[in-house]
Amino acid sequence: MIRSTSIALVCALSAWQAQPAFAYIKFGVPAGGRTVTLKWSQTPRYFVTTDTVPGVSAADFQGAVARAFATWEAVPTSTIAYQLAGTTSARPTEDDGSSVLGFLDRPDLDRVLAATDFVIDVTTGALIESDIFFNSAFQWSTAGEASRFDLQSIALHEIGHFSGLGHSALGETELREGGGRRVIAAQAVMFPIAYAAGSTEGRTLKADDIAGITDIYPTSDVNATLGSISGRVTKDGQPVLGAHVVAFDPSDGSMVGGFTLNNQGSFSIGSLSPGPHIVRVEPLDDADTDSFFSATARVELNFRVMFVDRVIVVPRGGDSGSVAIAVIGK
Amino acid sequence: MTRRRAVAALAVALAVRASAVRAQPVIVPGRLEIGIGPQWTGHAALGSRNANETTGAGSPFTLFSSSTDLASATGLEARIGVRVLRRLEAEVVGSYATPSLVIQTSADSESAPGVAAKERLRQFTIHGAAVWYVPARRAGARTAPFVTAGVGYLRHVHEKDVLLAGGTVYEAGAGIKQLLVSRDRRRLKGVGVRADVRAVARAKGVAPDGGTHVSPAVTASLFVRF
Ligand SMILES: [Zn+2]
Repeated sequence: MIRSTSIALVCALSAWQAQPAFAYIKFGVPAGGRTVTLKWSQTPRYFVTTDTVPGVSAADFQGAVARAFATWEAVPTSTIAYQLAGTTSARPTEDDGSSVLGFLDRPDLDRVLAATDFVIDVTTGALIESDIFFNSAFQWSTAGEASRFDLQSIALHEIGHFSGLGHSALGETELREGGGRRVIAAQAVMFPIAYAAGSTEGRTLKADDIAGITDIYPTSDVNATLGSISGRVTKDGQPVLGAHVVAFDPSDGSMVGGFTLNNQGSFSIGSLSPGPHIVRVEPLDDADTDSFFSATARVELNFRVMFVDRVIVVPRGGDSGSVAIAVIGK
Repeated sequence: MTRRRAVAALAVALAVRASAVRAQPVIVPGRLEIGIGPQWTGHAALGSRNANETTGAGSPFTLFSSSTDLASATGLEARIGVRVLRRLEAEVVGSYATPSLVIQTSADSESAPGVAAKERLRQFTIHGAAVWYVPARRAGARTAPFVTAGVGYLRHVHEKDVLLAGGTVYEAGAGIKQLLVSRDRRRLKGVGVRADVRAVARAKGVAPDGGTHVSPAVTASLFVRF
């Protein structure tokens, strides 16, 4: 689910259990008494509806969606691929075994631009179906028109969910009068709040998105060529849940984020380029925490932003070794 | 001059003349020279990089800034040279040092205090060099000024034996050799000290910008000539 610019929304996926995993959050689903990573085991086939909205023809819609799928497919370190199965008259929220993308008129969801849902085999955790709807209560464009949301950008975000990715926290926002948040800047397509209408900046995957999709669908050489940073965040000696940990690579300026996801305060950021990195830790305060974690999770927000005071070296094909980070209350 | 005096001369000053005054022996091609001594290399600024996010208009928003330096370090340098012409020597030079990689963060958009994050590296170089002995009338018979230039391989390794990066090292400079002991009829033909000052250009290696960065380097060494 992606939020419109000004408004805070509930992410339908946030109630799902977060998987202790690399980078971003990838979805974990309970199945057979354990938590398994939500991912496709075969090439997912998707249908598109032929419904139209003002400014977006059926061909425009199919073209924008196809470009968004192709953008994820083009990640060289990931094997993910998708297949267009054709057009359909089915609605994108029907649990019919077919993955459908299309418009849906949901004026009641006045803060939801689009959303992705899943049908999962609860015994095996296998992903059976995933639908994406785009809320036709908003104004859409495939040509970057001002005051209209860019369909390709929003599709790129939702297809990230469709593929098993959760939200990234690599973005800065400010509160708006009357509620909601405005995006100042972001460095992940999977940031939960969209750019303002008219922007097409969300059409390009960033390092964090690439690390995420690589982690779920790695090519065979990834384990030997990329590396990871792992560690633990504590405050007053106690583990911190929900700290946003960012690995910055000074060789190319890229950033990949991760979270402390368990009761030990552990984090692991994977699919990183080998070499020296700077690690920065911040509280999860640029979006509602339920965009990332279950509403009942006790996410720690009361600590200062800080850098780790040593260079963390990512070995090729290995892990940095545990990095101990002690944060300080505000 | 005794061996003890020779070592002392290296430690104190290279300008000290040996007390024995004999004519500089003619060094014939094929003569071998082996030297070893400390090397100091100055710091190199390896570039800066911002941690940028992207605004909806496509412009960068700087989350924080970083600049990377390779700190100055003292290490060890060893060389073996062979005289190929009367005034020209070819050398193979190896060096080892442990400079710190320092990444300074600053200007954090959320006021995180900047840090100078450090990590010790191991730096190996091996390069070939040419040494040209400059004719100098005023130099004493045992004193030989020279210019030198070379090129070779640079390797930066993390303390945990993780190869960070390879690169190229270029060096150019000048120096002086002072022969302390000369024994024409022995197998060991001489003992002396050498000092040189060079500009060292390190290309790639751990430099985040992948560029070439120049540092000063000073070497003092003791050599033996066969
Ligand atoms: Zn979303």
